[in-house]
Amino acid sequence: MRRIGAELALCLHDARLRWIGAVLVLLLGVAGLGAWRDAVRYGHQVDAVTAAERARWLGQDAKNPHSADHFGLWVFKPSSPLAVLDPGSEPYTGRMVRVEAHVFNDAVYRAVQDAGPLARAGLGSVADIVGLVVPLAAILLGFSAFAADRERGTLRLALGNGIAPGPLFAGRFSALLLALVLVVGLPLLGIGALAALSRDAAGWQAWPRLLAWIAVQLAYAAVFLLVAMLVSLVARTARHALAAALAIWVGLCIAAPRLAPAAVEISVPAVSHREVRARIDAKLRPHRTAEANDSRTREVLARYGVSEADALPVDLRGLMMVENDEHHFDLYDREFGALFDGLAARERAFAWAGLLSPRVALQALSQTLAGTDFAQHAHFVWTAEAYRRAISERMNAEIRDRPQRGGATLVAGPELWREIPPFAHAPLPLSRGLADAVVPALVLALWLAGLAGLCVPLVRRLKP
Amino acid sequence: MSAARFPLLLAAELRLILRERLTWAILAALVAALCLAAWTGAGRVAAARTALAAAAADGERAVREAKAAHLRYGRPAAIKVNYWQDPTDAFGYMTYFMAAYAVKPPTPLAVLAAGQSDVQPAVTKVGFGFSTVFDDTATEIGSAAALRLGPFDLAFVLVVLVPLAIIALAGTRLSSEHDSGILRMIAAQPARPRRVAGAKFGAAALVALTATLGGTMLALLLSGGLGDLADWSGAAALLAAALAAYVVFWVAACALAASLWRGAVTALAGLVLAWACLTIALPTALGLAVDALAPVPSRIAAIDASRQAQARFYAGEEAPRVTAAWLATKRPEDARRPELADAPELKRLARDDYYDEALADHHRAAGAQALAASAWSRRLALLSPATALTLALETASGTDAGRHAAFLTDAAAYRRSLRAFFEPRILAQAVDPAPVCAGCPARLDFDAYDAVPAFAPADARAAAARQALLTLVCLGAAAFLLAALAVRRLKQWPA
Repeated sequence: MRRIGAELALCLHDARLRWIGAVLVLLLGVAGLGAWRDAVRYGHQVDAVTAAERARWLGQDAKNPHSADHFGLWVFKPSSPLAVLDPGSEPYTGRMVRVEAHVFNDAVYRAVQDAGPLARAGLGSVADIVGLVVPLAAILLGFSAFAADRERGTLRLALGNGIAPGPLFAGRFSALLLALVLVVGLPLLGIGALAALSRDAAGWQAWPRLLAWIAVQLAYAAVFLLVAMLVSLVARTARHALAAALAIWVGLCIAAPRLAPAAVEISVPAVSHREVRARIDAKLRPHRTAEANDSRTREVLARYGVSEADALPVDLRGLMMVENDEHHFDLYDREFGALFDGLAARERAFAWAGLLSPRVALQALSQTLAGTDFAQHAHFVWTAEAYRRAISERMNAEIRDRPQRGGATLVAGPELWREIPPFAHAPLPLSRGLADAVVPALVLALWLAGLAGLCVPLVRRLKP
Repeated sequence: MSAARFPLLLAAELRLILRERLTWAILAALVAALCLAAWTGAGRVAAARTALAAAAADGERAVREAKAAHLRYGRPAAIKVNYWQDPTDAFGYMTYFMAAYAVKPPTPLAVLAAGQSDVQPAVTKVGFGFSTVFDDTATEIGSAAALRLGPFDLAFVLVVLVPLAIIALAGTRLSSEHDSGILRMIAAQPARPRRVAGAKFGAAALVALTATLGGTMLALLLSGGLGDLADWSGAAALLAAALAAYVVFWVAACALAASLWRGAVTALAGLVLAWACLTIALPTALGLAVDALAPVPSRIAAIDASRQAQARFYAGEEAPRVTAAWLATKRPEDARRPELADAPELKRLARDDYYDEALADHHRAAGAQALAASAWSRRLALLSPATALTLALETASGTDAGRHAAFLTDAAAYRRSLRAFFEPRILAQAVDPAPVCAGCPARLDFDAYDAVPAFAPADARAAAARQALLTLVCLGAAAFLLAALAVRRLKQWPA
């Protein structure tokens, strides 16, 4: 501990740490506070329009329940408080769904569509900064750990004085990691705490998520600190160590992450959204023809043993809508279920693609812990669809169970509208996130263990 | 040394650079990356062409099925046909049968850059529902993780990886000689530093240019993703020249780094940091500037406005009043017929106009923002060589934001043209319904399926050539500036 304290004191006196810390705090602060401001503004807008939508639903005039079903409403995806730190898949997935009769609408208006064409350049969020800049900071802190001493000749002195290379390495690594905790962990904790305290965090388990998330970011920083120290152990001069570590940074943080999508696309083929939509349309078309409708009408009349609709104990139109919707629900479950399963499989494959680069593993792990992963989006989409179905089922049942004779149309009022509860979306619990995080966490741990394992023989054979 | 002997020196440096194993390793990696990127690009273009073909086939299928249904229901039968099942009803055909698409076909150079194509679909079905508020709701939900990491396309390799390859090739020229002491020997020869540097970096530039342009050509040919370049040769040539200027810019940057005489590793580290600033940090800052200069109007406010209009329309007697007023503007002579104000198709047409009017300001704001964002992006992109070349490649590929904003405007205009085509026919059928035959299930007599206007995609060629030229000028100027600075600093050998 004394050695770590001494190394930390040295590190804290280094102007490099102050500069790196200042740049990191500035970058993280600007990105985090900007995201927090946008999230708060968006949250207020969503709250206001959700309340307005509920009032509009309840305030509808008396009308046929099917018309009310078509009137529908919009529902909005609640954002995780930690989206301020890592928006994850949220900018790439729709944020709002129009809930209406018959149609499984897509979640629309992805933030990335609204972002300018230059916005995807790489440092748009706190998570991007951690993914790209923090490794650079770790490299800039760690590249000189042994190479500079070797260049100056002080490493020979230290080893000559009987300092064992192992404890020396451990002390320096621990001190630099503590420095990173200071310049990375604390700002992240500050921004995360602000987000957790100021935004509606009900059901998100924000604090355990935040602590786990920060721990993962620090583990990622530790990977690059190990890279820098590993290079420093073998490089002749500090400048050589820096050049080599920068080359590794480019490879692992810039080039390899772009290869991951291509690798995943090849290894996990998935059906496209367009094909699924086309298949659904193709299967719905024959169901909608006059002939199909006529055949179903005759089948219903035969089922009840009557020859006219007015002789049925239920409303024919309502019953057929119930049965139509059941047919549609089955189809949607099958087709969209396969689409979402395929997309989820791809997302899982990205965790293994983390073997190409720790940045890919971090992305998978970080968004899962932040509650902004694709699983959360799929959960929202299906919750919205379940809500839509609940409304349709209730409206159709009202028509079916209150048969109108002689071509009259059923008119319902506010009592029926009030039976529909407000849309409530509970996010997937952290336990589910932790289960999904096992593979990327394992991959990140493999990177750490692999690099640490590489360091061991080099430390043992450390040459001045 | 006289100027006449410079080619000899250049040839010697060229031989030297080509003899290094590192050179061939870098070139092999670069060509492999280019081939992989071209291959992924070809896959993307093939998928876009498949989507376009599917849209065209769907349009033909809709017409075919409408004609078949017209024939089927145009004969006496006992079956009941609702308007949404009846293609003889112009309104039924417009809303339930027709499959009209606005499409943004890939350009012959689409293989170069994914651009916005992975988040902005190039095919949008033009419908007349009210589920959505804006025209850009077409969505192709895909892997969010892949979108977040970005595609491995040619634009990425050319803009991001090529400079790194150049830095690896030329970043330590002269400065490594400085480190090893060989520079003193060179300085003792009757050769001026500018000539020596010119030969060294000239050789590196020749190798980098040949590898980049040749490798790109090879990758494009191998991938099979190039379209017919007959009318695009000018744009392609300008783009190649812009790419060459980009390569020269980075070689000049290497020369400038060497001219600082701080040693090879410092030069290398400085170049990598400069690269990170120009390809990552500056584009991010420019993106933030575009967001500030062209703020995005609230989607939620527009949704709220649409819902307010919807709630107003269906409250009390507003729907009949709006329909009657709409009818009075379209068919004043029939406006007093009470059954027309209750006709569901006229009510729907009146309602859609009512909604469009309620959302007009939001649509205008969204359209103006999209155009402003793309215009600012075009201007600001020129401030960084990386974003300038990216924009040129995306514009040539037809995947840039400007083309998409224009496409959305064209798609909205197409929707209006379809409405203009159907509206008089629907009105005429409502005013004077004429069934195909007595006793037929078909309700009316619409059969102009082949006359429905088709979407005419805009040509992206002129924009591509203009952007490539602008990029060429900017990159050429930047390369010249860096080279001039390096030449100035290389007036004499270091002390």
